[in-house]
Amino acid sequence: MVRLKSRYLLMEIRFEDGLVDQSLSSSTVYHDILRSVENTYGDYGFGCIKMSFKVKYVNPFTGVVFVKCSRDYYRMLWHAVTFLKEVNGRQCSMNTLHLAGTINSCQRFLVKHNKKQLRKMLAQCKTPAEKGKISKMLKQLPSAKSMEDEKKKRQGDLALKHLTG
Amino acid sequence: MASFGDISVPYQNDLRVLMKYISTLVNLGYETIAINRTVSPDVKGKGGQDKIPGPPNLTSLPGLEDLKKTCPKLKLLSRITVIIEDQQQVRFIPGETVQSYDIVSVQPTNEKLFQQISQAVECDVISFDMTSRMPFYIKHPQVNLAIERGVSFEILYAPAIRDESLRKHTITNALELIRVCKGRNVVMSSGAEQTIELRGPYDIINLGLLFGLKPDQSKATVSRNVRSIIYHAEARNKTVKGAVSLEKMPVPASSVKRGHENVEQSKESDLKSKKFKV
Repeated sequence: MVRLKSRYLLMEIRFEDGLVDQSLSSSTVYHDILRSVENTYGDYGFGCIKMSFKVKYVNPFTGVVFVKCSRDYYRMLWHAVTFLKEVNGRQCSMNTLHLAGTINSCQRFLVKHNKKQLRKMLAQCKTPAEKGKISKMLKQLPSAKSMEDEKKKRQGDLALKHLTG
Repeated sequence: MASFGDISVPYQNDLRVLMKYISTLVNLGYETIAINRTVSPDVKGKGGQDKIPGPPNLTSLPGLEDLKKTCPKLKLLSRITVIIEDQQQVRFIPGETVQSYDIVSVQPTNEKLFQQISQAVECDVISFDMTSRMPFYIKHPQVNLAIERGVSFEILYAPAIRDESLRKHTITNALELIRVCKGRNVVMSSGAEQTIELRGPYDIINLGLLFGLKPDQSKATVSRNVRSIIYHAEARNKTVKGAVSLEKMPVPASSVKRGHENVEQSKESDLKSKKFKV
C-alpha cells in the first residue's frame, strides 16, 4: 500500500500597514486561500485541493502559517497563494519561506529562520535597551548542537523502545 | 548561483516610499534592484532630449546605510524604459541622457518598431505592455535577432496580482512570448504599484511555471538572466565596442618619479597601471 504523500508550505503573511492581526485564525486563512484557489483554477482546482488542503498552524503575531496539501496539486495551491490579496478583509501578501515533505522539516527551518531574523533585528537596534532584550532572546534559543543532540536522543529512545517492546 | 534580482521597481518622487520598496525587496531576499523610470519622449518641438530626466541619485537614499548592514551585497541600479510610439522617437535612445542610465529598456508599440528595435537599437531589455491585448504578433525572426544580440525580454508580474482582467491578459501575452522565444532570455520583474504586490523570488519561480516555463528556465528569470542583463549593460556602457575597457588604478608608490633617470621607468609603470580588460 502506497502512503498518501503531501507537501507542507511554510508561509508568512505581510499586511500592507505592517501591523499584526490578532483575530487571525486558521479558519479565516483556510477560507481565504480556498476562495483564491477557486478564483484562479475554478471548480476543478477547488475540487482537487479541497480534500487534502489543511491549515495546520497560524501564528497571528509573527504571521507564520503552515499549510498542508497533497503532493500532486501543491503547485495549484502555491499559485493561488501568490495571487492572494486579502486575508481577514485586510490587504496583505503572502511570502513562501519553505516547502517540505514533512512538517518537522518545516519547523526546523522556521527555527533557523527566526534566529536569522533576530540577528538582523540586532543589527538594526538603536538603543542599548533594545539590544540587550534581543541578545537575551538569542541566548535563550537552543543552539543547533543541542537540537541535534535532542533529536539523536529521541531516536535512541525510539530504538530502545523498539528493542524492548 | 546568481543572486536574485528585480529590475523594475517604479521610481517614486518621495524617497521614503522608494526606500520602503527597497527594504521590502531586501527582506524578501533580492539583492539586485533596479529603479525604473518610464518616459515617452516628445517628438514635437525642440529639446525633447532635455525633457528626459537624468538617472536618480541612488547613493543618498534615507536609511540605505542601515539596510546595507543587513544586506552587504545589495546593488542598486537605475533603469529607464522608453515607450516608443513613433519612428522618430528612436533617435532618443542613443542620446546621452538615456545612455547614462545603468539599464536601458525599450517598449515598442507596433510591429515595425519592434523589428527596428530588435535589429539595431542599443538597449538591454525589450518590454511589452502586457496588460492589454497585444497590438501585434511577436514573431520568431525578430525575437531570434534580439536574442542573438543578447537583448532580453521582460514580463511584469504585478499586474497579474493586481486585477483579474489584467491577470488574464498577462497570462495570455506571457504564454505567447515564452512560446516564441522558447524560454530563453526572459526576465520576470515586479513593476509593482504598491509594496504588497511584491512577491518573494521562489513565488515568482513558481509563477513562471504557470507562464509555460520549465523549472530551470523559470529559476533563471529571476537570477541568471538578470545578471546577464547587467553584464550586457556594462558592456554597452563602460567599454569600447564591447571589447576593451579602461580602468584607472592607483599608481604604486615605487614608481613615483625620483629623478631624471627614472622618468622612462615611471612612464612604463604608468602604462602598466592601466588595466586592460578584454
